[in-house]
Amino acid sequence: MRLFKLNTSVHKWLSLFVGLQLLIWLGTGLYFNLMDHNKASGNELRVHSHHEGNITDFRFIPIKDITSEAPQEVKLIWILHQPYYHFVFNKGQHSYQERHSKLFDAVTGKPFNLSDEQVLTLAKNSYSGEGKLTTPVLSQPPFSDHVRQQNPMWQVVVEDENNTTIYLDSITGQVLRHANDDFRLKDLMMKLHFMDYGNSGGFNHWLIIAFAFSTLFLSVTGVTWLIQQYQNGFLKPVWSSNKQKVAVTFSNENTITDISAVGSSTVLAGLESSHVYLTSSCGGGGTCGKCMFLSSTQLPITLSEQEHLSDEQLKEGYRLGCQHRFSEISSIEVNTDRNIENHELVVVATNFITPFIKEVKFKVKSGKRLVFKAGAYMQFEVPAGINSLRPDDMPENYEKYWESYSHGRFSHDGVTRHYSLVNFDEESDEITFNIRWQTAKDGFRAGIGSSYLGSLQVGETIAAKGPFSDFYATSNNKVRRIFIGAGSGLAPLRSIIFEQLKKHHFQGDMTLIYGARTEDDLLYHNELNLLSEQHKNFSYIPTLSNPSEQWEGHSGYVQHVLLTHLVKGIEAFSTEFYLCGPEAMMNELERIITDVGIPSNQIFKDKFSR
Amino acid sequence: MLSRVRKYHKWLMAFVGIQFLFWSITGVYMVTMDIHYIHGETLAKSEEAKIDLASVDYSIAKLAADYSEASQVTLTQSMGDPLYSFINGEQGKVAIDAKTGAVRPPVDEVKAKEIAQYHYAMNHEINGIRLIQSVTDMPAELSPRHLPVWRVTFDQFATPTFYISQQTGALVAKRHDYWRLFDWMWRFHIMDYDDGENVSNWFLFLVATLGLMGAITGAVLTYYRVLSPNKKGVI
Repeated sequence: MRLFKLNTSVHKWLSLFVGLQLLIWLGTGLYFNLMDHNKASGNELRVHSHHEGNITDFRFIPIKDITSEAPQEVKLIWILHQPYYHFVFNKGQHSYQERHSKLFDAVTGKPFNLSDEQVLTLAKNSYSGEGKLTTPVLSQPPFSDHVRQQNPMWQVVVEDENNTTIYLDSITGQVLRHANDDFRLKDLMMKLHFMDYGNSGGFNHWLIIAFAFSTLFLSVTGVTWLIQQYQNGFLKPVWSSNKQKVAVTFSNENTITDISAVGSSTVLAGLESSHVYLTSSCGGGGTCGKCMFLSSTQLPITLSEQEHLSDEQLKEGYRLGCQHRFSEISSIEVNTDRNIENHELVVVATNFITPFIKEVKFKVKSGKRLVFKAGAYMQFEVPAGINSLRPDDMPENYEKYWESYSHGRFSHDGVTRHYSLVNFDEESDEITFNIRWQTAKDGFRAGIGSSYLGSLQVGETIAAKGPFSDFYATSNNKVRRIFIGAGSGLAPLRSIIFEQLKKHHFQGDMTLIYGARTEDDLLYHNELNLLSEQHKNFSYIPTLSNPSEQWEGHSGYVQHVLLTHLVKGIEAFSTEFYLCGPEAMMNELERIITDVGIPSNQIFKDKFSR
Repeated sequence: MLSRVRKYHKWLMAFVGIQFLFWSITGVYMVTMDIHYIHGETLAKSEEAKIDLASVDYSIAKLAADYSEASQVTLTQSMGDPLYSFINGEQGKVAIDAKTGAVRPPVDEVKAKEIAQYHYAMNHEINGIRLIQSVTDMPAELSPRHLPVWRVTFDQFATPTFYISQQTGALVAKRHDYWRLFDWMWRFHIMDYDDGENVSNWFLFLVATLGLMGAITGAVLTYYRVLSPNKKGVI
């Protein structure tokens, strides 16, 4: 039984049907709650005057001597201090219902009809305002100021600010109502509240009955929904704003990004806060069944999921983003186009740290701190323009390396370029990149991205998207890790190594085999040496293909160093390899590693040239 | 945007949703039950008998002479007999026979039962009768201005109840359980659980205000879910 869906869709369609009237009911209800009752009665300027005379001052004619048909009731009433017999022949239970009656002079016994002047006097006596009263008019129903009234009434219009009209009984001249704009407002509110659009004067009509039943079902389905929300744990107030990080795989692009969000928010809302939008047309009500994700862990199945997802989908681990909290999940897969944020980055520092590599540090202009997994990269938008073929701000000691490269400028189209972050997210509020100048050969084919980024001055900005992660350390913490990189391929490896040691306090063995041409080309050499001294589980093995005579470390390519390591023997099933460097180098390394029996799912490569 | 609206709607309704249920249940009751029926108009036969004026031998002039402080003088009838009822100064309500001018004795229990049966439109036994003379003894369903009265109940499941003035013998109020239930429905509707007379209570204000906000957020949801032309990607 698809009860949940039935319940929620009934709720939705009923809300469409009764929605407007429901708002009217609430609004008018609030009006009744807040209104000034004295004003709304219309009686603000109404006063009671006594018309009674002294019963002993008159010589009354006996009622039996009056020539009239037989009455149901006779009342001795006083009008302007004169006595009259009010013969009532028939009347309803309510004064507004049709009534037949007649007035007789209680002294002469003659039929008596009120004159305009008398009615005017009676009206005047009931009114304490300044307005001028106009000539009374004997009017027939219906009356807009008294919808239910079925009897004629005297109508006296008063010329005052509040548009008062005084209504008097057509026979007795009794003041029945002071209607003014305050009264009419309340009357309108009543009419709206009673849905009395057909002027029945009451609230027992089919229209309001239909709406009342619809509203009852709307309330019942709503309360049912709330109970279901409560049972699923979505009605527990959570005040904590602890953030939780989750690895999100974008199956469309086969990339993984770490997203952090408040643990108590739903998966849908949590992803939304990081600008990842699951498809949803209901906004998280569990009614559209669109915000699917695939969870790596088994999650409970809610009613909404039972009805919107197939058994196969549920079995595979598909769930709805609105039905689970961020804190319930650890890694998920989503089938959505990622809407990674665009950032404007401001250069805060630039520094040549090797002859060809410039370290460029940025801050996000909006002040936002990026959250990412170490190993992530960003995509830079390089605008079309004209760049130098070689850097203008090179330190003197590196000049010798650039002697063979010509000066000059070249023009280029706009391009996008990817660079890995050198640091990890909590290391500082800056993000650091290593930009290797792709040097021009014979004035051609200079690197567009590197020459543009390498020429940026402090304070200049560039647009970038990301960070994107598809190269990162596993969450496995009982494992040995061997990092192998060359040249500027060190960047993501440095980021991961520092993240593991400084942030995750990883205790397993880590080895970095890092290849470069000369001592001058080694990136972060001193820093890595220091790190290996501080952390016993980290060893740093630089190797140079073209070392100076003073070099005491390894020489040759990283492949050779790796082979000597492998000879010592490694645990094939508990060693992970992280590679970053030129394509050819990584392919060769991968062949060597798989040859010694390492499963390919333990080898991670970051493509050096994206 | 939509998910935030949905969150507000959920939490607002978590607080006031139960009152929406009360409003709709009580509303359904009040609109489906005919108000004249609730007032008990079907319990009593409508009085259509006319007064035989020829038998009214005691004139108003005599009444004025005998009771010089009389006011609100009405010639009416009780079970076919004409009588005058009026307020006699500080003595209060007085009823006198319109034929003879004799003061009618206060209605006793036997007479009260007789009057009740005379007016009752259906055919049930009287299963309870008592005289109510003070406000402290009086049920809330009656106005104190009618005191003293006989309270006569009939043996029917809705407990039809007639109140008969001890002085005039007039049927002054008609109640049954549908009326009593209506009264409770009204209290729940205006959220005045005290005496059911104060629409301007702060509790109603609070819940109605939150409720209105809840309804507006609900309307936004409905708009986007049903009426918005571009339903996709609305969040």
